[in-house]
Amino acid sequence: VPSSVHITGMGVATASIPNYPMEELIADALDRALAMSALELSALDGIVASGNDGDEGLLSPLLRAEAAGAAGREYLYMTGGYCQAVAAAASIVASGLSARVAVIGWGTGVPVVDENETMSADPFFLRPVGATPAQMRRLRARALGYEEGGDCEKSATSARQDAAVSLILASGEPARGVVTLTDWRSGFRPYLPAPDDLDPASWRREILPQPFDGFDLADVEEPGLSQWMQSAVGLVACLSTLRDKGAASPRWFVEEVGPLGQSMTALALECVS
Amino acid sequence: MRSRDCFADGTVVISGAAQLPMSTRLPDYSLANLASRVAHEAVADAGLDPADIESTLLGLAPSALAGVDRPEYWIADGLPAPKSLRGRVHTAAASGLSALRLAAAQVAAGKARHVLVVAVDLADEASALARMVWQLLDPLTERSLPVNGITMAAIQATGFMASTGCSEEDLALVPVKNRANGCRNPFAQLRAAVTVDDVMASAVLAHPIKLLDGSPRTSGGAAVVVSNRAALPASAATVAIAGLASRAGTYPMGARMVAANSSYVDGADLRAAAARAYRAAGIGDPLAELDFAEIYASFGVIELISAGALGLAGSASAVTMLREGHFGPEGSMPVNPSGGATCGNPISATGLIRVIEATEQLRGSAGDRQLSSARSCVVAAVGGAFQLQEVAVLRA
Repeated sequence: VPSSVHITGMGVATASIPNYPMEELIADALDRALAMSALELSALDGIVASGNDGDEGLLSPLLRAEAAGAAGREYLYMTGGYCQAVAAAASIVASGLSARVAVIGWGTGVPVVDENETMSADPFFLRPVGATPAQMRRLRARALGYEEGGDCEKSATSARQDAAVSLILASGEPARGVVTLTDWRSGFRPYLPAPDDLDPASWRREILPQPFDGFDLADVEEPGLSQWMQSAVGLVACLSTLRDKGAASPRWFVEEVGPLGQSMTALALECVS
Repeated sequence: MRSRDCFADGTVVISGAAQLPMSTRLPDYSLANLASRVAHEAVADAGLDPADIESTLLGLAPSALAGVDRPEYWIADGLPAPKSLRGRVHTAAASGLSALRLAAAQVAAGKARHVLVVAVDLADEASALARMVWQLLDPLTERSLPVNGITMAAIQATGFMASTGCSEEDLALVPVKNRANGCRNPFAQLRAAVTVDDVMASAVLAHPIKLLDGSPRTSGGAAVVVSNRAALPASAATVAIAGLASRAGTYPMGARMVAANSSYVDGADLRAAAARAYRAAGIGDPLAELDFAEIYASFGVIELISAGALGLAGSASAVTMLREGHFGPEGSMPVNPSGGATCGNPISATGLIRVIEATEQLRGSAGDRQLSSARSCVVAAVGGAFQLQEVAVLRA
């Protein structure tokens, strides 16, 4: 089993709602990633998609799959954060099940399913008090801001744009200037973290080796995107920086998703320029 | 680089499995309780401690079925190793088998020694099943038509009947076989035999689909532990995952019912996925080299299309094999000896239940439904309107 997986291409497409169909964004992001990889769609043998099926009023894993280039290929759809899907794709490539995989994430800035917000809360503990993911994020931001003096407004950025992101993952020998994914790790904390465990930094310390050297979302936050797509677009920004400047030792990119930041995925990235 | 046949050496195995008896309703369980119950039982069945689980994957179909958006955040707390949750796989009714594929990849890639896969459904948790099925369809070209799970199967059945010349009575032989098998399965929801006359006399839902052709609405749960064989004691009762493949055929239904692509009627996408899985497992002649099959089929016609596409009829047709009894428990290629989805169909879990039934057969622990010869098999699941095919080859 190879110890690493390479990221040979990346693409981002964003649009202010409702100017552009989501399928076009997905296809654009994939085309850009393929162009950077100097590959045709036919060179891919698998697609791993990332999205939230409740947001669009569609069975998006299957209806969006054609735009994502999945027809005739191995296909998997993950509902967690984008980096979680990247980690899944990395395992698939490293296992030899697929040699070249596109990881395609998409998210709408304005969820169309009316009940999505209330459905997102635990039906026993949170839904009765009217909690929604946005409210929970704001509550946590307030708690952290109170304790740490952080920027609450920045943490509570609301969604206004549709976006799609694509990366191409491949096995084989790395070329110069290609970012290598040398490790991937995930951690999860159960639904209701203790009041004294709201700081993502404590969670990061559990799943990452120390000392931690990396990027986090605060470095790359893109106002206007949903929390869902922040990490995907942020990862691409991080990869661009690595390609430009290089990093001979791994730097970690950390994604934190979930109404209370329950899920954390970390990708170790290395690029020798 | 290791090639696709990395699964052929028996490194990646199923070490534990658990399911609950299926029922229309399971009023004693919340979705989280149900997942917790089967997950803990599967870990115990593997002879492992919860702390041994290094990755957990959920196979859950649309959030609309659960009545909770992103149900993974709710379910996680009761799992044996909640901090190991690595995500939720959602490929509709193929979710359980898709999650198994990812679990196997994690083990093969050396990212975990033991991966827990959990899939659950409570059919009465949401009132929006019909609306969820509607979400399968293209909003511009298909939703304006009176299409749902039943009428989609009817379109498939009329196409299949036209291309093969089989009759409605032939289609009825599938639920007759499966319901008889289900009588021997203590986990089945429907455990009463039916006859061809019963099927033919049942209400026509959408010609030629009748009430007894289809699967019931079901609550149920399933969990499987996928392990690296080297991390288990030699005495562990394991089943090897010898081949895995999937294939998306995501075009609209109508685009898959034309001369250039008739996969909605002839199962061409499933045939292609099976070819990859068989190649990985070193299977050249599935009819000769496999002992049985567990196939997800919510309607009889889907079982017949799938059996043919999986090569289980050899040079004959699946209809002929069925008529001659070859797909029965005493036949040359038993198909769905558990009774299949005809006897219980919790959508998220149904693919994983096929894996568990196959595992029990290969372990020789299937009780009254145990086949006389069960050394290797194929498992298949379908996501959506034949939009995704998943295939696995398992060996004792």
